[in-house]
Amino acid sequence: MIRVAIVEDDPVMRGLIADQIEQSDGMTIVGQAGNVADATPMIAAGGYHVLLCDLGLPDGSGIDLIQQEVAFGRDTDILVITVFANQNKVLAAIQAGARGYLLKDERIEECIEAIRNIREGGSPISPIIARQLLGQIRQSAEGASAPSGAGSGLERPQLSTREYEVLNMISRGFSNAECAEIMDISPNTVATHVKNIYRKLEVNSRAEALFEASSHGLLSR
Amino acid sequence: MCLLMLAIPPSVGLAQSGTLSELTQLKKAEGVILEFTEGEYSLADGATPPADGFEPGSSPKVYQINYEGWTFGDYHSVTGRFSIERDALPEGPLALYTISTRDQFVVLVNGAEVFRNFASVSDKKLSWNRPYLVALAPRVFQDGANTIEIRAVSQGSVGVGRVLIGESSAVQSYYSSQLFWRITAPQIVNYTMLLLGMLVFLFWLKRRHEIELLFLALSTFFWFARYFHFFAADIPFNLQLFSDISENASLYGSWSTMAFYFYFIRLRYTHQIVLGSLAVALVISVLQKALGWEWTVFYVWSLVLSLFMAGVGVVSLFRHRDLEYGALGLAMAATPIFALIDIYAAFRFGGSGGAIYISVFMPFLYTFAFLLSFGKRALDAFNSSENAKTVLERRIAETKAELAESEEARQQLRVEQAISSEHGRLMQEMHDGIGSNLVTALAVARQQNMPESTIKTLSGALNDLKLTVDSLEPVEGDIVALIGNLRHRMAGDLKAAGIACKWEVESCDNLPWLDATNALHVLRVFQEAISNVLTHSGASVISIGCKEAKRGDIKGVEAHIVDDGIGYEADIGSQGKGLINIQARAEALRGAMEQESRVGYGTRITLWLPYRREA
Repeated sequence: MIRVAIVEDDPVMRGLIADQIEQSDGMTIVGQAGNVADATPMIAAGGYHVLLCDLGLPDGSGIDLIQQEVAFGRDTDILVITVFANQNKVLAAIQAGARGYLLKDERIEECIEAIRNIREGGSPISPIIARQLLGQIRQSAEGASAPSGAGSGLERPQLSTREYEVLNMISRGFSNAECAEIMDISPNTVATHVKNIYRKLEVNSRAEALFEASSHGLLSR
Repeated sequence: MCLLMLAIPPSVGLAQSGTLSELTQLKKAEGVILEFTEGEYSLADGATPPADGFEPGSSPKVYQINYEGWTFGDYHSVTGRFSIERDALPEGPLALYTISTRDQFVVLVNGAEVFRNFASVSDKKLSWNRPYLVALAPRVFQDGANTIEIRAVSQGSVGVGRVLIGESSAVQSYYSSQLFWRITAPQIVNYTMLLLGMLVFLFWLKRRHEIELLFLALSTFFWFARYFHFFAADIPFNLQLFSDISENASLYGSWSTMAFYFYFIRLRYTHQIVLGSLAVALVISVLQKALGWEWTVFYVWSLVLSLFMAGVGVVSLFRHRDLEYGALGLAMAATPIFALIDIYAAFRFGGSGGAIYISVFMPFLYTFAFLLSFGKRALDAFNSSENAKTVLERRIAETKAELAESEEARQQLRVEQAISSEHGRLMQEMHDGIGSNLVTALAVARQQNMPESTIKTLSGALNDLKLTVDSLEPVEGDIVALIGNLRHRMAGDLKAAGIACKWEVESCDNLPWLDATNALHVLRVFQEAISNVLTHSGASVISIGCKEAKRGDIKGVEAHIVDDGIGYEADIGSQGKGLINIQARAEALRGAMEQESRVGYGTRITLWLPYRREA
């Protein structure tokens, strides 16, 4: 049984998602919150496998909640609930420790699928986000080759050749299954690579600040 | 008193002199000059030249203070007497010339005084290197034997130097050239050197870190002190002190010259060499004074230093083949050679005016070398200060340009930040506002089983919004990522419709002109085409892809959407509106759209976009 907690400020949306999860096999809702104030004790208490988290909450940011969850170091998978999966939101969430996202308008069966997937290892990633992640890795590599400066204190994501390949193909629009076929590996392996990429891209707050800067085009100049 | 004695000629002298003095003839272009090679001499203590006790001797006759064991300040006198027949002398006006007759002296012809070089016997004349011309009145000489007598008094070396007599014009000319080379030229050279030394000293006062300037100034002062007695007419103060200064100066002149030279060429261990040789010089000075050593010891030490400098000079001449090092190296190398020549001359002529001393011109060499080396530096400094203005102007211009550039960059950054923050705000608004509301509305509509048309409208609106959001994502012209993202978005729809997707992208360069507006056009073209496939074609497979392709000569990207659906008659235009929209967007993108369709064989739409668009 996959135990799910949900943080979403829109009660209608929250209710819909919760209902669908309750109705599906092998999943149950163990906690619900509509704002940061309610979510904080819920996260402190724990007791769930998957945390679904909206980012724009009335009294704060979902990013802070994700960081709280990550700080406990539990085996929890975090999915961001988003309307568009636009990159600056999702990337920030990934940096904080999220492992993927759910689109709010997604067919509910796909939501359920996504939650199952993430427990099994994989999680979806859009080409534009993959592209942005690649750019960040290149930027870090350039920072590493520079003798000193901003890059020196940063824990740089060091992707393996395979992981880099996967990320590159995803950025060019290939699906996980297509990646698996082209690379002659199983789709599960691709999913594992993707999850590892997420983990490696999770960075500390200092790096996050740098990322914020770079995503606003301040560092790449 | 002394004056009186010198002035009164002993009249008996003439009668005693029976033999004629030996002569040698110097042939000059202007006429005949005769030089006495022999005379009669008498030496006495005190300031009264002796009137008797003459002994024949060779001319010139100089009694050196060192050899006689005299002490400075004690007077000694010598009288020299020469006899000559009137017939032996040339006709016409005559003149007498003497050199190195030291120091205060009177010339008498046949007992009558014709010349004296002093006012008082206690004067301190410096006659050892000074030539004297004595013009003789026509009737001074009588027929037959004549006597020329020279009475000299000195507190140091005393003697009657060379005595020449001959045709006035010839003697005058000889005297002029001797005076020039012995007195006038050394004066010019040494005073010039002294002046430059003072300038250098003033320079050094303002530039204390350039220690070589101090040593250059010091060396000119020492050398001036050393050579002053070559060309001065009188000793300006105490005889002993003057003598000590003159002799010791050679020690410190050599030392300071060496210090200047070594500091100038930045020789290694210069500090140690300079301090060490100063110590040696001081020890020599003290010992010479205390033990009464000969002055020769100074010259020996100076010669040692000169040889050392000459060695370094020659080496540096080979190492640095530029003018300043070369000139200095040559000057250094010349110094000991000059000294050796003078020492040889002094031995040969016994210090009685036989040769012109060339050491006295050494300062000229130094001055020349100085002008080359230091002058070159000064010239460089002037040049660079003249250039400074130009350089400054250029730097200011550069700085201005940099400032303008950075200001422009700052401005641009500010604009970008403003855009970025506004972009973020709008995205937030779309996400939390319109987006969230649409999503909720759609969910409610689905839950309450509202009519399909309502759901479709809401879903379409949401998809449209997503497309707009995607077009705003920063992809830097990466068209592959852009259409990949669309595919990702539509994957669910395609899967629900049971259509398999073949993804056929090849790597393409970025399209630099692909901004948000153009990205939205591209996305709409693809969305329209894929929607057509979803709704009308009944296809089972859709191929989406892109590759590099030329159109005419222009490089670009060609994207395609191919289905295996029912197709249509191209001219019927059953899907006309959608295709016309695509066509219009392709034109707006300044690309080209082509479509092929055959009933039963599916449809192929291609969109070609150039890499570069004309402005």
